[in-house]
Amino acid sequence: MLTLKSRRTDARLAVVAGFSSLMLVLAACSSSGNSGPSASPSPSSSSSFTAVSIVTPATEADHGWNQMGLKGAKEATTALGLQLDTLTNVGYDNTQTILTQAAKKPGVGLVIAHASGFTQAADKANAATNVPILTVDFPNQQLPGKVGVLTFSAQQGGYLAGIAAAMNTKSNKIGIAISADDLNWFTMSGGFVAGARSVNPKIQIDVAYVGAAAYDDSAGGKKVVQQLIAKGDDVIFGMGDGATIGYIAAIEAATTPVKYIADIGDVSDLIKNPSQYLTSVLWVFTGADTQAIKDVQAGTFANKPYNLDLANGGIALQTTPAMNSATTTATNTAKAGIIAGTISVPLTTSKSQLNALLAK
Amino acid sequence: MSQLLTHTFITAFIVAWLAGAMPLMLAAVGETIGEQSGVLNLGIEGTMLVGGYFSYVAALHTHSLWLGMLAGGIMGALLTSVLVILSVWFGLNQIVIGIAVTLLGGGTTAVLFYSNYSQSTPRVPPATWNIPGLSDIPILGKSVFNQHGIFWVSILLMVVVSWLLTRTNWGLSVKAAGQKPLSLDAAGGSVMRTRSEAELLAGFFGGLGGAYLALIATSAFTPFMTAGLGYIAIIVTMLSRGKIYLVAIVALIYGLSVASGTVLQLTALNVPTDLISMLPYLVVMAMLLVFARSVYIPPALAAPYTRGAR
Repeated sequence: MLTLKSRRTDARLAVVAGFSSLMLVLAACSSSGNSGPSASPSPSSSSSFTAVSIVTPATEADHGWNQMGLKGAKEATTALGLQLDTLTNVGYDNTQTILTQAAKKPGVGLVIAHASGFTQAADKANAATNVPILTVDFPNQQLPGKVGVLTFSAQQGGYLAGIAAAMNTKSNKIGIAISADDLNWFTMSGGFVAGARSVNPKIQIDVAYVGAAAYDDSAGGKKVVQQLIAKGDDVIFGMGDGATIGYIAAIEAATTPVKYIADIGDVSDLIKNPSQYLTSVLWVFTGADTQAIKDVQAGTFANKPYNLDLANGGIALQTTPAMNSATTTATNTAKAGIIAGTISVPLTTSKSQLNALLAK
Repeated sequence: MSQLLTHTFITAFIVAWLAGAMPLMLAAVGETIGEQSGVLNLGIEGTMLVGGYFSYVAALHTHSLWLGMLAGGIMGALLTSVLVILSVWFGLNQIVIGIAVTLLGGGTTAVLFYSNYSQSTPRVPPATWNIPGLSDIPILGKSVFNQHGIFWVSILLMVVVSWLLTRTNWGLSVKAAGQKPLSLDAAGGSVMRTRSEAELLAGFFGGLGGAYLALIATSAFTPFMTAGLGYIAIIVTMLSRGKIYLVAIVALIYGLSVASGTVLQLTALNVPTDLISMLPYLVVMAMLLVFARSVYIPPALAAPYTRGAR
């Protein structure tokens, strides 16, 4: 019995020692990999600063939201001669602490909280540090000088994508694959429906959801798109993050010609056959980030919401080899019409509004 | 609605059904072997993720789905050896170690994926087999009889496991280890060895389940892609009372509910997205409630065995 106890004690000690070593290695890696400013804390000034911090829920590997957010922040800070401190893949737990830590880093004068899930934590982190924070999606969360909000006229990009889809379908059946109940997915889908119907009012549009929050469900994404394709849809507009990999896998496995439209990011390096990649509704954060930084420097931060739209180049339709000249011309004409206000794009901010639009 | 009754759509529905069922089936077969021997492996989620990741890596490098599946199975067994050493040999709490294995498998594969493949996320080329004659049958030919050979070998492996558990001395020892380990010991068998062998085989099948999910059902790996499938496998195991054919039936019902989610949306029905997400889990919970009385758990499950202890 003594031997058994001794073996158990040895095992426990081995486990503790192993985990302690792992923690030490991870701590060493994290400190050696810190490319931001030096770690000693010092108070930040909201008007004069040397660095901007961006916090993202996932890595830039998503070829979408996080990729474009990090890209925009990098371009904006580089152009303004500032350092960029990045905290990626933080998820959605403990965000107040993470945002506070990001704001307390020396020299940081603005924190970009790059997720709608960070909104509640943003004002608390601002209250704790007095460093301005830029968050997304909800204009009613705006606090002038403290918490700025970035909004998206994603429906405008969706409208152009809908035109591209309707002009490139052979079956007159197009599909929308959505990974989650997400405000921006609904607005973009609504624009897509309106754009497609502007080309062909009788076009069939199928909408299928992978799940309520299945952003990263690649297996579910593949299953959904396979069934859309089987129903006859030959252009798929996919909104997904990690689920995008499943969408693309389904399109590559299709035995009939199918084209894919992405959103937010550029997925051209993911798709083997360029003829299958019709376009993407790009979200370009550089201009809005630049404006927010300049506003902090000028003391005018968050006096009004920041927005990405076609007019300011924050929303754009990607040009690809698969887009023919007729499609390019039609989308450019529609873009001009939207900017001029002659084309009105419906705004669907919920699933019920999107369903109502589809039912018309 | 009529567009849902086309051969093409029904074929795609069956493909989605099998793709939803097979990973769960393989993982639940593994969990069944382990539980029959008295080891509760809560780490099967991590085992599946490790199997999925390493099968993906192996398939990308060797261009062979077969070698990918083998790698997934072996790595699943390797990760399960942590549970074998700490819980079976040293008698540490199986629940705690199982959770640790899940965290270890999920975290490790996510880190490895992000550092190696996240920029390109290459896909494994889709592959199918045509069975002469049978592949020409309408609907079933392009769905069931068009499946890759891995599908058929997986079915065969499950039949072999069923035979092992019910028709061999080894299977009898496994059941004795889970029901009355003292009797096995008294009869000259080794509880430790039997449980170790059973659990390593369980890990191999858990790895195969993850490999099937990555290589066949998805054609790629993404971090945490199992999304709770390992835990569903534990429930399927408990519902199946150690019978492999019941594992297959319950897994097929789960796969059917997964595939039905999209069909419900593509009909005229306005189905809430939450319900679509919940449907497979609701089905499993309903089965758990309906068959609650017939759920069988081996008496010595999760109890460490110490020779000579009372």
